[in-house]
Amino acid sequence: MKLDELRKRIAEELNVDPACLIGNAGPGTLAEWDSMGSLGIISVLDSASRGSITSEEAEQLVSFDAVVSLARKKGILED
Amino acid sequence: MTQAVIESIAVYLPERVVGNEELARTISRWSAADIFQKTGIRERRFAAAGECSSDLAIGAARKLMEEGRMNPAEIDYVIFCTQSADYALPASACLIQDRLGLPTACGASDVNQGCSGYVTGLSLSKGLIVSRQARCVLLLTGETYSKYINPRDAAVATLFGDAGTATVIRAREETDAGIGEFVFGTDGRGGKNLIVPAGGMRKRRTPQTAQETTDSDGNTRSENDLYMNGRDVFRFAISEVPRTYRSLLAKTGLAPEQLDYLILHQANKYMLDQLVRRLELPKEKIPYEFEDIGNTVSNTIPIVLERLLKRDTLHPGQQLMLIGFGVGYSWAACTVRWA
Repeated sequence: MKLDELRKRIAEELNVDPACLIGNAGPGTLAEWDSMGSLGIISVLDSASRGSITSEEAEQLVSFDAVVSLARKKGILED
Repeated sequence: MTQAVIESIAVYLPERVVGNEELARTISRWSAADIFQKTGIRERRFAAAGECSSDLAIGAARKLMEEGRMNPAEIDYVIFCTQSADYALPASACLIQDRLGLPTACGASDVNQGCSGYVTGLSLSKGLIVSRQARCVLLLTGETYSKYINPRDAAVATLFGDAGTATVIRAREETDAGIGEFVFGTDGRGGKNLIVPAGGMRKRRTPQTAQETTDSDGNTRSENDLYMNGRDVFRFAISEVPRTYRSLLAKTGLAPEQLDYLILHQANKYMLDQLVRRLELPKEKIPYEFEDIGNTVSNTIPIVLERLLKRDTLHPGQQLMLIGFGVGYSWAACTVRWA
């Protein structure tokens, strides 16, 4: 998927405006990115990667940049 | 050929009802409405101070006896699945044998397993029966997770409830009904993500283990309390449960449309919603039964079965798949053709 699609899907899970999801946006800057929000992000990435997100990778999802980085690593994002 | 057939099920819930309003008074950052929105749970039952997991299981077994659905004299083996046993030793199942008046010729074992425990118990029961070691097994579940939980840990205090169940499984010949095939899984790397760190032999309880700390999410607990890494438990479940479902379909040759019910461990609404999205079944085939009782660990699946029976929506000949998953990490799935 394209970056905009990933942003849109995660925005839907967090119930935020996609425009909020840039760079360092994360649990510290978005109230909606709480423990439940984290589950939604994991769900999006798990679905897109067909269940290949590891425990260690899930722990690293602390910003939108980190989410994008993992999505690229998993081949979820098209260039 | 001998089949192991689920013959009867009863449920016992402790009296004390703990609603979200009560929890919200301790978990100050969440309202009662927040708790329901996040978990899908309105209330749960907590065992009384002197009430143990065996008491809950015995409560369920006595219901079966009072209703004429279990004759203690016929029980060859009692299996008690619990993670909050009465004592480190002896096995609570031995004490249950005495309290229920089961024959001294019957075997008795505890199984220390959680959310996959009922399905695990079905596999052990079937094994005893088809190997002709037993003709009639009493499978009990009983759980008092409430006694492990720090009320200021929202991650767990809002989810778990206590309960006990009793299931009679009997040998039957010349039938195509019964407990079918199984798929199991274990990943001990996940053990640390749902654990009571102190109190076993690895780490004894001390004044130090009783020291409370508050994590970055605002949840407070000590090492004597239940800890859950909800994020990783969720990641594990949404990854493994669909795989297990497909694996068991392949093993049995069943098509999804041949299932009348897929009964999942009732972890919480969010988890079930995510799993339903990933599975190939209409939502009406996947029961939700947790709003009034919470996550009762190994009790959840038999509680769903009992409620379907009470509503007269589970009938002989129907094809079920049961999937338990969670603490360990451990998971187990089986098919059942209802008798």
